[in-house]
Amino acid sequence: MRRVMLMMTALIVTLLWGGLATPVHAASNDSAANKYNISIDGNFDDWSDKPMTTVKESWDDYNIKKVALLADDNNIYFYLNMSPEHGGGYSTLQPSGYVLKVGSKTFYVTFKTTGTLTDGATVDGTVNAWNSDNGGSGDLSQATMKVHRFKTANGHNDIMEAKIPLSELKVAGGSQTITMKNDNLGSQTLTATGGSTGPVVLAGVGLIVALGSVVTFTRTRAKAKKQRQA
Amino acid sequence: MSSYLLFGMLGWLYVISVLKRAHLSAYYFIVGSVGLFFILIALGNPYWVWFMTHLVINGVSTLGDWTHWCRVFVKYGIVYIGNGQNPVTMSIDYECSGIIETTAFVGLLAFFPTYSRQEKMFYLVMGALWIYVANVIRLMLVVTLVYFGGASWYFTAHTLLGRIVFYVLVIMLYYNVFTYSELSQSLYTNFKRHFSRGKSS
Repeated sequence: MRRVMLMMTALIVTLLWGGLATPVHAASNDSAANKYNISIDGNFDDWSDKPMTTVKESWDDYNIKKVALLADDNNIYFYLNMSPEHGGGYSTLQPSGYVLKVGSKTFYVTFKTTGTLTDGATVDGTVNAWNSDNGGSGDLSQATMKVHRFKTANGHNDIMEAKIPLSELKVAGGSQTITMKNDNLGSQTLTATGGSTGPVVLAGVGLIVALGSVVTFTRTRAKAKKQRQA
Repeated sequence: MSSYLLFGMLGWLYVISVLKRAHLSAYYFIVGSVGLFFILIALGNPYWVWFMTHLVINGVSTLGDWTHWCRVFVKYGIVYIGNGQNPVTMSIDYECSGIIETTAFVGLLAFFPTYSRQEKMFYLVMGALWIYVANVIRLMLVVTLVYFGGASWYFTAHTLLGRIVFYVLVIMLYYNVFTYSELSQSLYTNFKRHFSRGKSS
């Protein structure tokens, strides 16, 4: 018993180090609320180290967009660069036609700017995500978006970033599969998802196997003890 | 660490000491292993979760480096499977890291009555490595199938095939370690023999 107590104490002391480090780590990482360190502020540097997808039509090699879709337990994050290569052509923000699927729910999303976009300006906007089950107007009061219009040699280029809270869509976070597509931009569909192993089942199986073995071992030992006494 | 956890740990230590003295082996095993599992899970977040997710994601990155079927973003725990038409951004988090399975294995092994301390340490290291490799194989399978089949294959690759492979590999480990099979015995015996030989020379 003393050995077990010693082992447990050593283990707990070791792990306390990890446990006590929690507040420092959580504070520097902005907790799980935003594990990607994305701020919706019209400054797009925070997207530079995120996975970007090229969205285009197969027959169009000029109007190429860069798009990113990320999700954590609380929010969906969306980035759209209308014309990163040429800064012209189809480079004005595409506001509508986005089909967002979260699990089995489908939302028709529109990004509406609240000010006039001029070269060099950053404007706010509102997000509308309509779903037949949720009803209502679909306007999301807690969603945020910013659009910046860059002046380019070929005209201008709009870049947008947006954050949509999952709670406002009335869907759960976690390992949900989330997809986003807009046929106006291109034929690609973006998917963001988790990769859970389904750990509870395995932990349960392990307990059953080990418990069965412990019971067998205990019975065998008790039987052997009885035989020795007899 | 919360006071609830601290009092829970003290209560758990008291209960297992009572069960041990009462020679109630099965109850001692259940309360001990389940309690240790929850304590380790509570204490392991976020440090060990961070460690495990980074370990897994670095394992998957070897496939990406060789084949360019995926790119990993270690800082954010993301595996990006870029198949051109329908890319998938897979987030490796708490549930995908294998920490729950590893912790469950540690909890069960710590209170398993038949093994000596050296044997437990050996199986702990082997088991943790085995679960890690099984998880990396599962994710590599998902990456391969989604890369060639597209995002529509994600459900089949991840929820069906990936999990089946992972479950089979982990249950093989549980079976061999907790039934004290010939395979696990011979593994430990060979390891001990090799280790002893090295020590004497």
